[in-house]
Amino acid sequence: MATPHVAGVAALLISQGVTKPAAIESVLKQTARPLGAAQGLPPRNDEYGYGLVQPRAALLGTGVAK
Amino acid sequence: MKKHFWLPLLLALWAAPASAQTTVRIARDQTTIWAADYKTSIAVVPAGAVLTVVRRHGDWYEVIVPPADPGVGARNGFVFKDNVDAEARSYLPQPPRRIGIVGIAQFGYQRFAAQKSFDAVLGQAGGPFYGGGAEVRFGGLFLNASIERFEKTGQRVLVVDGDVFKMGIADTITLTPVAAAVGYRFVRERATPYLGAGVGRMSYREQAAFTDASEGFESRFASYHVLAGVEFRNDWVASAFEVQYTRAPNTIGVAGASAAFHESNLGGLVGRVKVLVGR
Repeated sequence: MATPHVAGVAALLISQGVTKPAAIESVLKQTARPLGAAQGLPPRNDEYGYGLVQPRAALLGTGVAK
Repeated sequence: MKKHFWLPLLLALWAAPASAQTTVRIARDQTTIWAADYKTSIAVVPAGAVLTVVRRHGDWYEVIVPPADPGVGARNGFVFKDNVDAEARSYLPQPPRRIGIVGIAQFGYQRFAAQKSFDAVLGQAGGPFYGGGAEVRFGGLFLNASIERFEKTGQRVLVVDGDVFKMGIADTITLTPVAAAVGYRFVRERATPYLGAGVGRMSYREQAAFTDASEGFESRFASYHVLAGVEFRNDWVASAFEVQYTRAPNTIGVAGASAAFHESNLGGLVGRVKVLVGR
């Protein structure tokens, strides 16, 4: 069920004007919460990929400093 | 001696403007007053005699020697500084060292050093600062302290490979710099240029809509600045135009748009108008 969730977040990003596929991919990767740290895995790993997609963080964007 | 060749010149320049109608008291009895060639004696005066000074020439005072006989005109002569009473020599003109206190209201427009970051979020790379302060003046020197405030609402963004995507979520930035500066005013009759430098503490706050305080950003940073301006005085009220460059390095740039644009300086260049009351 990961794909529909990620697709949904991508759709929300598109609705906010983020239309470039590369930009959507980058935002999803940057804002994902890494999983697998407890097993000693790196942030991006073959078990969980980039982690758990974070729609709120992705859609909230950033300010100047944070 | 060579090392101090400038001292007589400095003393001469220092003394010249205000030496008219000033006097010196002769400290040593039988002091010789010399002619302009410094070889010919034109008078010998007793200790305690008070002579009017025309001007100072290095280590020498040019003085008016009263005529010995009625009907004979007074002459100018020269007396060595060591023969003059130290206290009397304190006539040396001092620049005005009056202490003044001035209240300041100021308005400025700052162009941020982190231009791309502020332009992305606020839609412009600068903004207005309002504030006020006070200045203490001691002759040409001044020490001032001021507080200003900048507040503007833009919108949060996503920055990906230099492209900016606006997310439509309000983001309010509040900047409150508190600064102190010292400098020197080159006092003139009407337009007085001045230069200064100082340090400050900058309070930076950023809060977005739909977020709680923990998701916002609030911090204080040290800053330093240099400034230059010119003041136009009209009795007790004056106006001044000032330019200030502020640096607050390594304050932002860890996250957010500033990290994407690799901008870490929260300072910038300010053009400022000041209204000063007092003198």
